[in-house]
Amino acid sequence: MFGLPDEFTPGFLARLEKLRIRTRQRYAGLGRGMHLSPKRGSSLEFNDYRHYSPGDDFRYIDWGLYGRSDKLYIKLFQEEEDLLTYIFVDASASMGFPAGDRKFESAMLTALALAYVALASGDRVMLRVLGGKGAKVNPSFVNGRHRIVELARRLADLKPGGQFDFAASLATELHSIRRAGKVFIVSDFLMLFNSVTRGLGMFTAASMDLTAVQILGGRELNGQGLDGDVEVIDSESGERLRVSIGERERTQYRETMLRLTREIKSFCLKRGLHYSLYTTDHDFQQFFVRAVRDLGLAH
Amino acid sequence: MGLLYPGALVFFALIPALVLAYLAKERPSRVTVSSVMAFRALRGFRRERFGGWPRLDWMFFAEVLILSLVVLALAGPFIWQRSAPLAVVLDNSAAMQALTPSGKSRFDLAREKLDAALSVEDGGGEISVYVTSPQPRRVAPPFIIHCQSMRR
Repeated sequence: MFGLPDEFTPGFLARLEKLRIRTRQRYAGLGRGMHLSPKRGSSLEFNDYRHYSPGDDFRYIDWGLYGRSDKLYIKLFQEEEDLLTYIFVDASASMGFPAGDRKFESAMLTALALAYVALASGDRVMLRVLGGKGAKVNPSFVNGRHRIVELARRLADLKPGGQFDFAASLATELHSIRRAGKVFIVSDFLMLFNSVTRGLGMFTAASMDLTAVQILGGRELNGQGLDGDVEVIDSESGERLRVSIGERERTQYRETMLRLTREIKSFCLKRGLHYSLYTTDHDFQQFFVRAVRDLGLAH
Repeated sequence: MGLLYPGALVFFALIPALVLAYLAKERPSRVTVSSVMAFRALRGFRRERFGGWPRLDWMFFAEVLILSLVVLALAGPFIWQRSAPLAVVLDNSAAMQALTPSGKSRFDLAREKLDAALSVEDGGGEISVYVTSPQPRRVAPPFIIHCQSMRR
């Protein structure tokens, strides 16, 4: 619809519009919005008092307090600003395998849905792509829900490819981010656990509110399509392993995959990060609606 | 038991060829995966493991069986029936009295041939000797020790 993927039906868009991004702390934005900011301003949310000084708008003088204390105080209010939302999409080669699982397409859908939630609630969105082939997405903030089409078009030009060091890439990205805000990282996280924890840990150290969305293929998770003697080749490093796969090995493989996801989830929950797992053999719309809390969203 | 064409047994050499064909078929397929991390916990190829054996499924054994049966059929196996009775018909007509260049009658030659044939026969079965003239008839009750009977 209007250049958006087929999953973005009018009904689904309407459901996304009812959501908003939830953060555990307040972040300064770039303009008026719906999120409480650490700045003081003119919202209805009372924040503090301070002594009146000449030049202050006397509409904000608390006359009741003046009557009790005989001193002039100015009421301070919380500022409400937009939220700076950063969405990182992993476009490394691993997102393209297994080809039938459409992991990268699912990652794009997730990123677009998150972006639409942010844009529809008046927040600013910066989409950043890690790795990948094709035209690079310009890392600049966009606002206004109509800009979702532009983001969709930019993502559609991308193809998964290449290899990157997750932690090092995120460190570079983090260096270029000047303002803290909400961060979504959409990836398969199929990399060394140490690299994942270092990468995600950097964002928490920088006081960012982070949600990790792990995308795994249904066939990938279950080891389907692999049988007998197989030489598996790593899509990124090119490492080769020769394995015999039968029912027992497939069960063992699946357990290892689930353990890897559990480790990442456990790390996120311990650090107060949001974590959500989407396996591509499930309906995307249902996943997104059911995982609202895990994604760090609220109605 | 014997074989009519023992030379056909050379076709049993096809069985190792079949095994080789299966081993070649076991060559691993190459699959590019997102990450090999989860595969590291798995062990290597079955045939590379200690005491391992290539994966030979039921088709392999069915093919070996069919091939073996075909080769055996080509070799033409037969079974000696040791207790089978033997009937010998000796032509004693007048024509058999004719002399051969060696000075012996045809009948004598026939007896010698019969004697030689029965001397190598170790079947142990009953032997009956029939003559054709004047009417076909058995000359003696069935016997086992043929040499004695022949001399009689």
